[in-house]
Amino acid sequence: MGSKIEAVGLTKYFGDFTAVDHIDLAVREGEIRALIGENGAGKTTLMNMLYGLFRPDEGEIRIDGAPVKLSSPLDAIAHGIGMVHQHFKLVPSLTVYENLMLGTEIERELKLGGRTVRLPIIDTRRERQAVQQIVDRFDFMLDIDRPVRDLSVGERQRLEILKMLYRNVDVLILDEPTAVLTPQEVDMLIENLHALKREGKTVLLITHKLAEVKSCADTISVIRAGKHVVTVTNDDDATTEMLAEKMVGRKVADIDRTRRFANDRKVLYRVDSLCAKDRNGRQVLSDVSLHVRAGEIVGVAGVEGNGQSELIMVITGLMKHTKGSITVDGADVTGVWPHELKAHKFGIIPEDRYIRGLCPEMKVSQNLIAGFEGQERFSRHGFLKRKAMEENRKEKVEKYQVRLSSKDPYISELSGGNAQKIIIARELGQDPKVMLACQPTRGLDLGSTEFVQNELLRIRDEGKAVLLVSSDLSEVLALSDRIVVMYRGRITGHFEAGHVTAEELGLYMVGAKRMEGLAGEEGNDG
Amino acid sequence: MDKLLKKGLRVFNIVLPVLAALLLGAIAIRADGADPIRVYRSILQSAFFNLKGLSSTLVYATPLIMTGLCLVIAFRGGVFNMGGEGQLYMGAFFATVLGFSVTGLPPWLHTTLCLLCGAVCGALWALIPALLKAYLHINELVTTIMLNYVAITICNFLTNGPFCYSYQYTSTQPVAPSAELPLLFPGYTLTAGIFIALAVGVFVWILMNRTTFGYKVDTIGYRQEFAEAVGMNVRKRTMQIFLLSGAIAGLAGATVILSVYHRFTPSFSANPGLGWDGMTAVMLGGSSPVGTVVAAVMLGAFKFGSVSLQVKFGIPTEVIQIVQSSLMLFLSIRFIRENSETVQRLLAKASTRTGKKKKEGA
Ligand SMILES: Nc1ncnc2c1ncn2[C@@H]1O[C@H](COP(=O)(O)OP(=O)(O)OP(=O)(O)O)[C@@H](O)[C@H]1O
Ligand SMILES: [Mg+2]
Repeated sequence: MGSKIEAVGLTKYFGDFTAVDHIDLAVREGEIRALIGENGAGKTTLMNMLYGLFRPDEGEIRIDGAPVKLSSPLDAIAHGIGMVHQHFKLVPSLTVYENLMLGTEIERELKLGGRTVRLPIIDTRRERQAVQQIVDRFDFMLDIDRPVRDLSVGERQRLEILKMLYRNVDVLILDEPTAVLTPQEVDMLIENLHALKREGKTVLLITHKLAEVKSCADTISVIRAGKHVVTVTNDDDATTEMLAEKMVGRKVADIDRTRRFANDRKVLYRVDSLCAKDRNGRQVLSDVSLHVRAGEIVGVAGVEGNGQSELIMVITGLMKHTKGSITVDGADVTGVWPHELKAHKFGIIPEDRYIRGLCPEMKVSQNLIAGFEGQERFSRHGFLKRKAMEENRKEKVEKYQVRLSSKDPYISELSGGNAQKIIIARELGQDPKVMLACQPTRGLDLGSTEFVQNELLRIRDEGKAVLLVSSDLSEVLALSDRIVVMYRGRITGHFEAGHVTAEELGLYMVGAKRMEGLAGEEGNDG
Repeated sequence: MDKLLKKGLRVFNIVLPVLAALLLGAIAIRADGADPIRVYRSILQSAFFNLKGLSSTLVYATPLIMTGLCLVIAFRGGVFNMGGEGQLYMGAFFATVLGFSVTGLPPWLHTTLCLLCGAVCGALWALIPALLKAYLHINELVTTIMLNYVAITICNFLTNGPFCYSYQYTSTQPVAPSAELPLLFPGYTLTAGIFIALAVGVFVWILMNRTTFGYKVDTIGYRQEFAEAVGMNVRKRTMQIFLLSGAIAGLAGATVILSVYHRFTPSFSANPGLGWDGMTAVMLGGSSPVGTVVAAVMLGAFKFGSVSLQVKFGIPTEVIQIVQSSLMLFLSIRFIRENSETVQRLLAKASTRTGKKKKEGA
């Protein structure tokens, strides 16, 4: 035996749908175990059971060989199991140490003669000490006095992990921790995980990126359609090709990146000297200029938090600009509302899936028409055509291979990857002229990533203009015909694809290098 | 199975507050020296099981149906219009004014005009908080509640001042007979007002369930940021929701005057106010048009029952008000959170059972 944590015949039904189907899994102490599988395979559901969020319908969980019943996350933490979800649960206005101590505050003590009396006052000095200690112990680089709202995504994630470590968990479950991280942050996380391993902690890691799996896991478990397919040790036999095949059940083809655009095509999208200030009057965009031609993908690379989100907000009409102009196929769309943008055939895949991309409380069929409900296809004289909505749902679900647990479920019942497919189906289904794709494959599995990337390449080849904003550098490199780098709200570099390496781009992304004379009209071929 | 159980829970969450309120009322009735069971039975009997009573129940229910429906639209669109009471007053007052100042019109035209006037005035009164919310982002919860007092005071002033009719009794002149809503059956108090209320019900149901407008209202109510991002004009929609909601409240006011009182008295809406009773109806009805109409009829029965109680048992109407207001209180406490521990456990059990069944079948 000697397993730290074990799942025996673990099963979870959602109505008639079996999300996790009699899975057996045993993880040794001090092991880093990667869990891989397609979107909707049941990875999150399985882990949620280990974390006490879902009760298993069948099977049991054993810790150190002894069966346990976990009725809540608190219960799980008491048993030494912690989990960090993809959506962080932090209080932005509180500092790092305050967030970490939330719920386990150290109270000030008063010595009265021989007795100590606890006061209902937080002992900040001792709290800071304790937090600093744990930060140092695991070598997590974090300034404990900074408010969480100023932290980068990577730092927030480290904080979430520390929160678990402070509560003394032995088993740490991470659900797609790298999906939101920049390449540098991913390296750092992997280092941190190795540090945890040295401390004897057990790590369960869900991810879609096989390169990361190869670089940090001891063993790899593949889940497909709710079932455990195989567990292998991470050695030379476990090639990414082999893993991919096990995951998908077929061979995964490389995407065809042949560029078919000619350089003299007309500019469909142009952003000219765009400036913007945030609520506090801080300059977040300075003279951003770029253009996208028909049949071209332009990638915006950059470390998250360098103005990309603001750029997206301004060009989608959700934030005010202070200077500059934007045109779609010659028509001025500067500062127009999202509904007017739609009329100009401007498609948007937003970066925050569950805030701007989907309405979790509504059904798939309803989400698939959002923003287009007024079209003749879906309504007449203000009355919804319910049949057409149904047909649309069927067609899209089939075409984009969305995995659903019932006919027309609420979006909140979909796995992350499948939810993203709904957005993509909706936006691409409208045949846009210009497509703004923000983190389009975040959290998607291999097969779906391949699918989405192929879709973007396909519409490019149909002569659409695609503006791709992604913090995944390999994606930007793989898809773009031209790449611009954003650093501190400015465009600091501009490259033709194939003429630049990832390392070179990295230098521009962290501000170590910049091109001169990029302000105003952009780059060489503008 | 999950869904069935969730639905059951929702029903439970409505039944439990009702029972709790009735229990509290029972204590009050007991304290008054009467038998609660007999009292409640008599309410039911007098309200439903004879024609006269049924007719009166529906008379009481008519405005509640509408003030409830006005909130269905507002709440589903995430607009907390607490100003039903004020909009109701404005609608009632100006419908009355039109009712007595114009004469010589054919009855159908005169009533229609008065009803329209009520709706328009209710909508206009709702326009104030609507503009404040849409353009200046001022919280409608505060403005609508405050504007209720303003509306009531204005109507009070106008009734006592410019439109003062009798000095013993604060009221305006009665409306012309051509403006009155006709009685449906001779000898019964029920008027054509009930048809107006039901028509509004059908209208709201179709609007919310079958049109793009209802779809947008729901989307905005759930996730405003999402609605904005996919290109729904939230500001415009918020204004429309407010105006529609105000119009229905105003129509409710006009209907009560034209079918029951025939003149405006500032106390026509009685304690706690028809607009507020609408709130109870919506909460009982769970924001669904059908549920709200049913709840409003139940409330109507209760209101009528409480009047007959005073006659029959000598129980003060306050007792029934205790039931009503505690009902409101209990309804606003959600007894069992749909995603609490216990519920999860119940759901888990239920799904295990279906899962097992499935397997046995296979
Ligand atoms: N609350 C729920 N109700 C109904 N079905 C659900 C619910 N949660 C998940 N499912 C279904 O269970 C299946 C497994 O979902 P899960 O979230 O575990 O997938 P996953 O492997 O984590 O996928 P991803 O990589 O996309 O995150 C999906 O098909 C999903 O639709
Ligand atoms: Mg998942």
